[in-house]
Amino acid sequence: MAKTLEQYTQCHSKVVTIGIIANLIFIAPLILFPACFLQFLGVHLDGLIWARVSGFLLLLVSILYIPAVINLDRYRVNAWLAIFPSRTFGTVFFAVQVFIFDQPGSFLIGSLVDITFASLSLYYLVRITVLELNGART
Amino acid sequence: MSNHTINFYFRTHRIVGTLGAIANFFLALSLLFATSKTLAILKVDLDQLIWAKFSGGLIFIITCYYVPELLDLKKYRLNAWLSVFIRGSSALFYSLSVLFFLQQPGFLIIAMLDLCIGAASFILLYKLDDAETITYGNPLNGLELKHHNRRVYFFAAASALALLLLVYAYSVIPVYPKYIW
Repeated sequence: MAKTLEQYTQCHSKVVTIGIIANLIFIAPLILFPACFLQFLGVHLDGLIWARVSGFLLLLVSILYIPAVINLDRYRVNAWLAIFPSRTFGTVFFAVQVFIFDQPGSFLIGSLVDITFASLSLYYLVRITVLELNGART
Repeated sequence: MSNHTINFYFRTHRIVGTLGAIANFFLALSLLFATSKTLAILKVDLDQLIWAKFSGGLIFIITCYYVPELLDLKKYRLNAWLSVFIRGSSALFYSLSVLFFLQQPGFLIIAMLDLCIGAASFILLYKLDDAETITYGNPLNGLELKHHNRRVYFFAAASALALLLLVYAYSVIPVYPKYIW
């Protein structure tokens, strides 16, 4: 049975919320135990402040996803920005760093997380937009 | 209080926000594409440039979220308040890192930028809410934030910020085994 607009909106909210939680799984160790976390990932870094800065900025980006979860109609731009540039940047950046600039393969985890949530969010947003356009026509 | 005053706050907020966004985009693109030179200017040492590039990318993404509020402050008032929170927490994070945890002073430049733009935006948004309350009875911020409830929201934001910084401070203070450092 085809989903309704409301169901797609709820699915989108769930995907974005799970995406924020997934981000937090990276953010907490990056800010709190950067040395341990980077050792676990097999990444070497001399100045741990940069891991903390990255974790902190990732937290700020995740906070900016929240308005689209609260009210997708009003903050539709935020929802699109979460896909492009936000998740797209993460996906492309880490893939390029690993495959072209020979960075450690564990950076690909970031790429995988971002591409998963970007694809799911994009699917639901496109479905919502199509349904809205169809509704407007009829 | 007239519409003229409200329009003044709208215009000034757009000018301040645009200047802040331009500065942020400049910093982000410099960190992304001219990493070594930018770090040299900021006098910050780093061998693994990927982290500075990643930070530049994240600053770029955050700045993209500032754009909607510059185009339509009425609709995206929540983004505007979030940007104030983000700039405030960012300023505190970098300042704490330098002043208390002895990181390189180059980070203070970023802290100053965020502090200036964040403080100016905060004052303008606060005044705008006041002006709208006097003119229309309630601020037209679309947040269902009643004028008299603002203290509660500010307290919540300040608490979140304090908690964030406490967690950060706790993680930097040497309470963990040595290898974590």
